Amino acid sequence: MTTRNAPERLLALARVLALADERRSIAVVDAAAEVGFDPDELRELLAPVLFLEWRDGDGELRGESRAFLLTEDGHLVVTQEHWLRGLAARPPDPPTALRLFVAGVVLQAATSQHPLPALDRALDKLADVLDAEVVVHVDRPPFTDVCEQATNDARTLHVRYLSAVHGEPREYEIEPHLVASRWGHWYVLARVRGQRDVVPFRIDRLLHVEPGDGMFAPEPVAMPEWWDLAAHEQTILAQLPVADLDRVPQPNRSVVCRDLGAGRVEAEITVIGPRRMDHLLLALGPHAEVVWPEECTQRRRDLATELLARYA
Amino acid sequence: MTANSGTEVIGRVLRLAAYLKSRRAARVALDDICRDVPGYDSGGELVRDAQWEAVRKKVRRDVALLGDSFGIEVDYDASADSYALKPSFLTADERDVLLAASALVRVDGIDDTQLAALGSAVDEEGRRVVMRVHRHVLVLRDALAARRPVTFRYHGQERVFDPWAVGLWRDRWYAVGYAHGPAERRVYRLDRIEERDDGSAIAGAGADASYDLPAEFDPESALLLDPNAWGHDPPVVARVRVDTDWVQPFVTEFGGTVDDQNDDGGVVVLTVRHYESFRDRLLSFGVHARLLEPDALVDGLRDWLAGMAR
Repeated sequence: MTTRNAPERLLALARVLALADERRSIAVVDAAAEVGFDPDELRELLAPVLFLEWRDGDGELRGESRAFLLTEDGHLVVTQEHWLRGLAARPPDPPTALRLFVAGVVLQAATSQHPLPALDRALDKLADVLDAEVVVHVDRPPFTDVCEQATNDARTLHVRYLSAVHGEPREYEIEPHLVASRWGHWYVLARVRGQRDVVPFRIDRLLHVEPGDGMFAPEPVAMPEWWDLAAHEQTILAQLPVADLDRVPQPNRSVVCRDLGAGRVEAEITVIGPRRMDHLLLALGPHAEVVWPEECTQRRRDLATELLARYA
Repeated sequence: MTANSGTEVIGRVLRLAAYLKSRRAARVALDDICRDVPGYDSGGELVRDAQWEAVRKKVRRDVALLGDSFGIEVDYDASADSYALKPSFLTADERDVLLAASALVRVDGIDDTQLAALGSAVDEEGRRVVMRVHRHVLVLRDALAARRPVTFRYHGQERVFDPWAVGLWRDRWYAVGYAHGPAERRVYRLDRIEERDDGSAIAGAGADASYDLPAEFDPESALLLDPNAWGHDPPVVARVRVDTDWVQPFVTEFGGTVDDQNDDGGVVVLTVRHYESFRDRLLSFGVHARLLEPDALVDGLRDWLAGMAR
């Protein structure tokens, strides 16, 4: 058994009780591993939390034994409120306050139809801790609620979807299994009826959504950490004014290859899919020259000619 | 210290917290604590002697432990020689709703420094939303809270800047404030702040309390960074014919109102304050959006396309 001082043991205890509080239950062996304690050492540490006794002002014996429970199979369970957390008067430090603030603003956007006064109050308090003007704009596309409802009801959706890769709208009937957001974009992870794989649809690219009549069995699907879109990357080499690099439509990956002098550079610019490539070619403008590949040079001429004809 | 004595300390500290909670409405004296809370027994009536002082120090140490581990703070009134719990920072329902937010949202880019911080222990698997906080946000927040100018490299130039607000817009973090060189309000995108050779990026450039925020400054609108909101070109009303499928994405991109909608599409009417950005974004809709008015913008677009068509 290791020897740790009281502050270290109390900090570990606070962490273990937080784990139990936020997960409702945790195995003692897992909690011990989390704080680097031996499980027996942790059980000993937990003993005072499980049962406390003191006297009230009248000398009557009182106890606190209902908040936490150690089950026979070795799980720490929060059976009532984590009363120690409930007494916390010290505000969170700025990093924690910022994390809670960002998470809270997202929840606030998700519940804007039914505002939560407690959340508004909590965000005001966190803003006071941050003591600085921090503004988090959260976009939630219009069809997000419809997708969430269909996911909860396990009901299909008829969608018209504009894929960034294909570039033109297509219609599908999908089984939505999960609505999730990654770095500012909302997705519905769904299986196209009759297909095998669950694939992501970006909700802001859903052009039209209607509830379907089909039902399906919900499956536990997880949001991937990232998608490998390398197969859809398209790259050009362009010569352009260096200041114009800031104007190149996002998202893109650009690398300056050489300085051409007189404020011009040659840059390699990569985007995903033909639709973004078409936009890039047109947005570069007449001051830029696409030097490679030749088919993109020609494609730019054709696109500009086609669009120009509409303004004749 | 042995493990057992450490456990005794923990038991005593937790009993003190529970006792103060149960006596929340009243202040308690050192005598009360000694009489009612096992672990502080003095063996009889306390008199103000060395033993009294030892117990008082013990309570003071335990109160500090409660603060450092659980954030529990106890107010000591020296004149009345009494103790009372300070009010909680969050109410139970505020804490619950922030826990719900933490269970829904993973915030990347921030390392919790508080081991048992609220929301730091929720199960990762249930988090359906991932947000990203740029690593410069906390540095700029510190500077902003202290009203301390900062310096950094941006587009190859050293800048000196008074941050007025930091914020997230369309998944990118920005700082808005006063740029000393050009002596005007500027917006900087944080992922474009350049690292120096030593790995540093943002440094202090003056004393705390060096500036005030302008009275008319509104951070919410300052961080609505759509060029059509902040552009400085003379505002003009544009009318754009948009194919049916593309009306919603167009309005999401630009705002505006839809006029004359039929099966083929609609005409979106919007005010344009940044001609260049409007043209570039309009081009992302290709043949599905056609600018009808005003003539000046139509002419500009025609010239732009003609320059590439030849």
